[in-house]
Amino acid sequence: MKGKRARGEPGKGITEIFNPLETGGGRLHSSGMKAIVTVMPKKSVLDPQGVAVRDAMRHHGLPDVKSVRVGKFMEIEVEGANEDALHEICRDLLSNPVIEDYELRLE
Amino acid sequence: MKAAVIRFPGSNCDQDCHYVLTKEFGIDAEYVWHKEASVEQFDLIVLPGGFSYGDYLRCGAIARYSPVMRSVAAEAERGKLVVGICNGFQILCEARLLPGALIRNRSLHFVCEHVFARLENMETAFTHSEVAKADGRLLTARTGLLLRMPVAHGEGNYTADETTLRELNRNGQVVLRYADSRGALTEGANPNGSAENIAGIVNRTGNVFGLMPHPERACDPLLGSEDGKLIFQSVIESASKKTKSSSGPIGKRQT
Repeated sequence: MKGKRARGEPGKGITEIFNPLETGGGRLHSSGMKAIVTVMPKKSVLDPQGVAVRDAMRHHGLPDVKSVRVGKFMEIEVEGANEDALHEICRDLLSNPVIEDYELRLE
Repeated sequence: MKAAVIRFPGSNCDQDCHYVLTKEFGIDAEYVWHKEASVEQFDLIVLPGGFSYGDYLRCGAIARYSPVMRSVAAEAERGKLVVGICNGFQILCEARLLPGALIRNRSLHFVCEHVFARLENMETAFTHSEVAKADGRLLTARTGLLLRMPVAHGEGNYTADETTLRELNRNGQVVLRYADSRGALTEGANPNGSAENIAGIVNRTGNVFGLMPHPERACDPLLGSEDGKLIFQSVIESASKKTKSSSGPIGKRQT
């Protein structure tokens, strides 16, 4: 699921961010969930790390590597996940929508 | 006229900023711990460089949620002058007080060197003034003036989408660009690969300034440059004027 581009006002929503389970509103899942968040640099943003890794791979005998993009993978354990709140925290804290896209998966 | 130097866990240019404000310019300046709730009583807010929260997640991403940032955002909204240097610039971008973002240097190297930053807009509250160097010579703001200042960062590569860049240019919000010693905006003069050689920008209302170079490390001939004084002198003058009259942002460029 792709995140919306909207982003919270500066300094706003701290309570919501750090107490995602208390904000209410979103769909409630049973306890003991795992949220998997993948954050990737936007296609339009240069990824210098990805370029360096690609070049290293080519030098290590894989000349066919076309491109590499380096992102982040986060495993989050939650006791009952409010999905809306998790999306909000993905947009506001875990990713920066100016340069990154995120994907949230609940297991 | 009172200045706040915000201290986050991991700030490391706070003392340099405080030193310049108090010792070089004789300004009343205070350290403000990031857990403080308010910076309302200050006329100028400085977010110093460093590695707030160890640069975890993204530079400035966690500091942006420090309690003091609510008040910084509120004061910025009211037109108070805010300067973010290096990590401070990153925090201002993360807090959406400035547009765009600062990503990994194109070279992937941490750059630590003196650069020339070309003054692109000499009408802002941060860059309009004149200051005497130690030898008595005057440093006067003018468009195209080259300021020699150090940079020291791994993530100073300013990036923004096309629309944002167009807006920044149209509104005169690009204040500093990396240039060579003759003032040409070359790729070689750009230490981090930033878009259009951008080194520093102001917000639309002209009261929030973020820059990657360190003016606080260029205020004494012993440090190899005094060019940073121009920025401190300008912002101090602007903040003092604002303290006396509660008019709008000084030097706001209308185009």
